[in-house]
Amino acid sequence: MKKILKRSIVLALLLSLSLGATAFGKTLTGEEILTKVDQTMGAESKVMKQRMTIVAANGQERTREMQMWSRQASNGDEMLAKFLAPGDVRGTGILMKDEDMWLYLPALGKTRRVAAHAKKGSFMGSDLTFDDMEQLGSRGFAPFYEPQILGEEEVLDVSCFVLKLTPLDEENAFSYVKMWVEKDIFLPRQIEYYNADNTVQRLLTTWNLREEAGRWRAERMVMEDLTKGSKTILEVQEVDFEQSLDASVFTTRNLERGI
Amino acid sequence: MNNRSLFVLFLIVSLVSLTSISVQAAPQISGELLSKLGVVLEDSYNLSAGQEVILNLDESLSSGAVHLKFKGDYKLPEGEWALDLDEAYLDYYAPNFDFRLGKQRLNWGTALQLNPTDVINPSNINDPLGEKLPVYLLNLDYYLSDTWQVTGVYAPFFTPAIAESPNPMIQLVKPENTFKNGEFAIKLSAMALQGMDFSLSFYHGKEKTPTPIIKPGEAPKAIFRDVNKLGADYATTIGDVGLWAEGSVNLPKDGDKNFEVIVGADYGFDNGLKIVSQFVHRSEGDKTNIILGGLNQVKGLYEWQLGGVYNITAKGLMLNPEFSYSLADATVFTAGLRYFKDSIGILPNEENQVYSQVSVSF
Repeated sequence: MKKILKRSIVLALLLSLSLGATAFGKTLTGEEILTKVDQTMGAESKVMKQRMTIVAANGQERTREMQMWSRQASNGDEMLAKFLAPGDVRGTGILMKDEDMWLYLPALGKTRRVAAHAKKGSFMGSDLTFDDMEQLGSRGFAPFYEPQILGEEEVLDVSCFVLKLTPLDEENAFSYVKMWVEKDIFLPRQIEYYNADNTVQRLLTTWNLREEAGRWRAERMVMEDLTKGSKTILEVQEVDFEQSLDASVFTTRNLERGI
Repeated sequence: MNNRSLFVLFLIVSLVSLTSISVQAAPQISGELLSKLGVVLEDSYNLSAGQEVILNLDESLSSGAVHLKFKGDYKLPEGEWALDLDEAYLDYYAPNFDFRLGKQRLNWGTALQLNPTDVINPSNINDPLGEKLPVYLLNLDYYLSDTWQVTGVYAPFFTPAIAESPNPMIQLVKPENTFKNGEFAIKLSAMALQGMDFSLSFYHGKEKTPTPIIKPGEAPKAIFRDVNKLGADYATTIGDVGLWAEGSVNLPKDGDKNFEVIVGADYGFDNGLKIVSQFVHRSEGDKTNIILGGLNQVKGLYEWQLGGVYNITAKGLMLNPEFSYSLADATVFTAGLRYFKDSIGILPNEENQVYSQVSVSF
C-alpha cells in the first residue's frame, strides 16, 4: 500500500511538473510563442478602419483616420492604406507589396515608388514606422527577428512570456526588442525597443483586448517614443476578417482612386 | 456651335445623366484655404499677399465618379478676384479599364518637379514648377494585368502655355480646333515588375510654347509647331537607395530634334532625414545642365527642408529653406526664403523673397 501511495505521489509530482512546464511555457520554444503571436495578430485578410492620435511632447494632439486592407499572400504580404481625414491628408494612399512600396499624394496626382529606407521612417508623422504598421498589421514578427525566451513576468496585471527578439537584419534601427506575450491568448501586451546603448527608445502597450470569432485583438495600441516624449495612439474603429481580398485589391489603380 | 461648346455640352449631358440615375451618396465637399504673404528683399521691399480657395465636389456613382474643382484667387495689392472651374470630369470604372472625360490634369513621369514625359498639360508660365494647366481630355486606362497597363489620351482642343503674344509686334498663330489638330498620346507602363516600375510613351501634338517665324516680306509670327515625342521613365530601389530616370526625345516637324534626360536618387537616414538629388540635362539650345537637391526632415509637429537648384551651365543658384508647423488638425503654417545668385533659368520671377503661408484643409 505504501508502495502504491509512493508511486502515486511520484506520478502526481511528475504529472504536475509536466503540466506546469506546458502551462508556464517551458515546453514552448521562443519560435513557437512568436509563431503563435503572429497567428493571433495576423489574418488571411483584414479590412480595418483606424483612428491614429499623435500626441506631441508638448501635449498637442493631431488625429488621422484611415482605412486599411491587408492580406497574407503566397508571394509576400500586401497592404493598402488610404487616409480619410483630416483634409490635409485625405486621399493619401500607401501600397506595400512584399518589399515594394508606393505612395500616392493627391496634390501631386501620381503614384511614386518609395525606396526601402522609407519603411524605417515615420508613418505619416507618427511614432510608428511603416515597418511597425506591417509587423503589427499582417506580416508579424517572425520573419524579422530571432526569438529567445527569457522567462515569465506579470505585466499590466497579466501573466506573460518574456521574449527577446534579435533582428535578423543587421541594419535594423534597434539592437533588440523585448516582448511580453499574454500567456493565455498569445497577444503582445508590451514591447520595448532597445537602441544601441541598450536603453529603451520606444514602448508599445496594448489595451482593450477583445475576442471576436475566436480571435483576440487589441482595440487600442499606444506607441511611446521615450527619447522624444511623444506618443501615438492607434484605435480600431471597425474591423472585418471575413471579407475576401484578392490580388486585384492591392494595385496602384486602387491606390489612386480608392476601393 | 463650335467644337468646344459641343464637347462641353456632351460632358454636361454625360455628367447629368449618370449622376441622376446612380448617385451613391451625398456629394463630398473638400478643399483648402490658403493665405499668403511675401516680401521681396530688393529695392523697396515690396509686399504681396493673396488668398486662394480650392473647393472640390466629389460624387460617387455606382461605377464611377464625378469631380468638380473650383479655384478662387484674390491678389493684393491689386485687389483682383479670379474664379475658375479648374477641373470637371467624369470617371467610369469597368472591370478592366477606367475612363475619364473632361477638364483634367495628367501627371506622367517619375522624376521630381520636372517631368520630360509629362507632355499633355501645358506648364503654367507663372509657376513652372507648380500645378500644370488643366486640359479637356479623353483618358482611357486599360489594365492588361495587375502589372501592365496601357493608357490612351486624346485632347481635342489645343491648350497652349501662352494664350497671348508677349510681343505685340509678333502675331501668335493658334491652331484651329479641328480633329486633325487634336493631340494624342499612348503609354505602356508596368508596376512592380522584378522590383521596378517603368513606362514607354509616344505623343503626337503641338509644342506648348510658340516658336517665332521670321520670313522676308512677311510679318513676324509665332506658331505652335507639330511635334512627336518619345518618352520613357524608370524607378527602382537598390539596397536602401531609391533611383529613378526619365527622358524624352522631341522631334519637331520644322526643327532640330532634341532630348531631355533626368536621373535622380534619394536616401533616408534612421533619424528621419531624407536626402534627394536629381540631375537634368537638356540638349536644346545651350545644352543646359541642372542639379536639384534637397534635405527634408519631419520632427513631430514641424518639418524643415532645404531645397536647392544649381544651373551648371549658367552658374545660377537658388536656395530655398522652408519650415512648416502644424498649428492644428489640417492647419499648417509655412515660412521660407527663396535666395537667388544669378539666374537658374527655370522660374520667371527670380527675386530674393521671404514668404509665409497658412493653409487650412477641410
